Amino acid sequence: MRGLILKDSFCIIRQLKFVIVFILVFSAIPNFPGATFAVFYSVILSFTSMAYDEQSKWDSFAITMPYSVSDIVKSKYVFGIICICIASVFSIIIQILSLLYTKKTIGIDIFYTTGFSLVYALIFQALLLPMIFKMGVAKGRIVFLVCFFAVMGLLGGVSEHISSIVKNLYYNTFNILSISFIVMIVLNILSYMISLKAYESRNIL
Amino acid sequence: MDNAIEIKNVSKFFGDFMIDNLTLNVPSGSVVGLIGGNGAGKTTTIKLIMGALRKDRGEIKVLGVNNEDKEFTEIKNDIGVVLDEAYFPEEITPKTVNNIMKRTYKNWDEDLYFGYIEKFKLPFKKPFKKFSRGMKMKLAISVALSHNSRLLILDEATSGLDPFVREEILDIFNEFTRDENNSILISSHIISDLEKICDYIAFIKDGKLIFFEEKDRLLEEYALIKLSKEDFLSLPEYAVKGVRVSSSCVTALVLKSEISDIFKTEHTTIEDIVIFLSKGDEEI
Repeated sequence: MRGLILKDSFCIIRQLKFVIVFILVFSAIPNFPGATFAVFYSVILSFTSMAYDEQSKWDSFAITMPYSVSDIVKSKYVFGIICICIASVFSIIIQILSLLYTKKTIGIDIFYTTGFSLVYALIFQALLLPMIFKMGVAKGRIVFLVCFFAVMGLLGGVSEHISSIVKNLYYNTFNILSISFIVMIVLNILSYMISLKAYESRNIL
Repeated sequence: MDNAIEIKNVSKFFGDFMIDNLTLNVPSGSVVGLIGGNGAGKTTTIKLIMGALRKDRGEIKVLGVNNEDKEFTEIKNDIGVVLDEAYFPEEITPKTVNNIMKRTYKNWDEDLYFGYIEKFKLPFKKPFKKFSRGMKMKLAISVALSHNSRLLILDEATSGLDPFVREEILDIFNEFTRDENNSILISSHIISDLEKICDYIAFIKDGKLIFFEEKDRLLEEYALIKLSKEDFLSLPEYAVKGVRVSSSCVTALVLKSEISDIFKTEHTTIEDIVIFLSKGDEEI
């Protein structure tokens, strides 16, 4: 599976530069949850790699290699997790640098906010990947964009309240994050099983 | 192991096309050429062998393993496949292909791969999207040959290549089968290529296997005959396997053993045999 993940990484290098610029630009906008936005946006990287696969008919070739169908499906989940984790780390670094620059205090809420973003981005991926495996990238991407902007619009609308909500829930934040984390793992396992069925039912070539 | 590939009573139904009860073996150590017109079912057969398409019926064993068993994933380390197009993502370069493949195939031979890249004069750092069709196929062939495969499955691997490179690649395939454990299943539109390297010819038409024969036996068995229309009618019907009519004469593909020695026959080629059998009889 390492070969598949490496191949995906080579495919998204160009896209990655764009995402980094995206994160920097949105992180610089005041009162905008840019870091959260960036983590969510990183979900698109695994979809981009799937678009490349579809365009080049990579799957037809991949299945002739020593990979099973489950390896191919699993690699997309693992790749997505890697992208979201890297985006989260990058997001924390940008937020810390931004706070240092504006001489504000670095609080634990940065980690909680990014933690929530990471968990919900992974939930988002778990909901969307089966659709992509079932419908293909073109239709799946439309669903992705609609969901993405709906979620971000919602977050944008309540962005001023987010930090106060986090502060109000301070004592419970860890518990909520823990529960969300467990939900995310369960959803990803279910999502993987559905994606596998969807992929197996397709004639790959 | 007697056969590198065993296809037994395999059927696959599509809306307007089907592979119909196909039985075909690739004996170990041999080169089998898969011949047929466009849409005859050659590529579908190869996809069924590799498990990329799910068969509706029958059984396929590759290197002794059922292609639906879990063990088949492992066996794919020993199979080199070149599809009708090279399906690498656009941004990939021959250099990155090496990095990917050495994490994919257990027996990936980096030096051998670099040797082929050099031999085929492929640019090491050029992205795949800038490759010509010939270069793309050369890259796919380099990959198929660089992990010590015991079986090569080649779907139109030589198409799009100029005659010199084709010759070079056919030599490489010939070299590959010097080891008696190595086998090749190759489909091609360029029948003259198959005639050069194949031990057996399998002819598929409309998803059905028309014949599977040793190449030399086919060439011994069939002959061409040119006659006037009147003389043609004196030939026994069962001896005639295909007919082409021109204004001056009738050219027929015949079974040599079934016609009298008084008829003067001409040597035929695999291409002639396939074309005549494929077209059937014309009105006389």
